[in-house]
Amino acid sequence: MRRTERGSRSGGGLGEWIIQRVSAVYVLLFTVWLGVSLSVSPVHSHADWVSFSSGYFFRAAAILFIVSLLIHAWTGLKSVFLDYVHNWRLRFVLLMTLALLFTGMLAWALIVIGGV
Amino acid sequence: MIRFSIYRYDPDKDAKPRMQDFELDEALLEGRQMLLDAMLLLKAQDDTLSFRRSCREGVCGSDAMSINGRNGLACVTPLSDLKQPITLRPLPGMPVVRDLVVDMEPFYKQYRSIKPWLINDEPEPEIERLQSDEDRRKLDGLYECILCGCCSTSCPSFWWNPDKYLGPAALLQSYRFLVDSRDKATSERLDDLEDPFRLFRCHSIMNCVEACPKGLNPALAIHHIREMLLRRSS
Ligand code: SF4
Ligand code: SF4
Ligand code: FES
Repeated sequence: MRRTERGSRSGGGLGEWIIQRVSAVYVLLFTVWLGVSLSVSPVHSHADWVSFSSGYFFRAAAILFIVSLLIHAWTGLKSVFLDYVHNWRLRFVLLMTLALLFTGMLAWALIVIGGV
Repeated sequence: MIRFSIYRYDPDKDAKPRMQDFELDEALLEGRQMLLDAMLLLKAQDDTLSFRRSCREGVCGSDAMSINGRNGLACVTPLSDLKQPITLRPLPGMPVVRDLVVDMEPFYKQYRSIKPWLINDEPEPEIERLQSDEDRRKLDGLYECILCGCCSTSCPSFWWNPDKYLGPAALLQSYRFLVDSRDKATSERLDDLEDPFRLFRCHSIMNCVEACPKGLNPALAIHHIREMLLRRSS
């Protein structure tokens, strides 16, 4: 069938739509879990915080949270650009800038949480 | 007296559009109750006022316009429901031909692109292609669409990308053929919707549902299409 603009099959339609939802669910679950565990056993001192946040489980979950958050923001902002920025050159520049920024943020989060 | 404020624009003569006030003596209506009845009387006062209408009973879809900021059909909108001055504008986002008459081509173009007909290459049966009661019922809430355009022209996603996003009306029709048991092109139809624009510009803003004068639910149809895509890919 004829199309007005052919996009790559996975790169924008259904795949992205699913990713957006899955990442949102994880962000929500992690936030709720964090809120509940902090209210059950509140953190009073720096030492408390260190013991709370240094476990492997927490660090893995937190990194996954940052990744999900960034992916969610990426799909969301990309969608906004597709809606409003009709000049594809400008859109490309914006997306590249965003990708760079997010990669930087991810690296920073890995250093802080992962301690690498 | 009923007061109106109506959008006037003749691109050949006017530098820019303006709003013009009208007044109508209720007695002239002689008991008729719909907005279109009043508009026809206004046109008798000033025959340069332009708008489309035909069936005057909500069937042809030609008198879709923005009525007090909400899209609807003048012929099925009771005057008594409307705050005065009754403000009439052309359907939002469409090129204006004159006054309330818009060029519907961008809307029809998207409609044509979904191939709004049954595709079935199997040999024709002697009499007709039959459907079970159950299969026929799947078309309820879809076939009633009169293509008035109230939904698509109230959808922000359609305003921003009318050339790439199908819009709620064309998507409702797309689903109408996707669920028809007699249509054999389901997979090709779904292929055609899988790009970032044609379907996935819908952000479930729901303006379309609010706007449809036939009480149809394009957002639900769009949701069902997404489900079909999901089921196919899993
Ligand atoms: S639900 Fe989708 S189609 Fe309906 S108005 Fe919103 S964005 Fe447009
Ligand atoms: S779905 Fe409703 S509003 Fe949209 S074109 Fe059809 S009848 Fe008009
Ligand atoms: S005149 Fe036909 S729908 Fe209103």
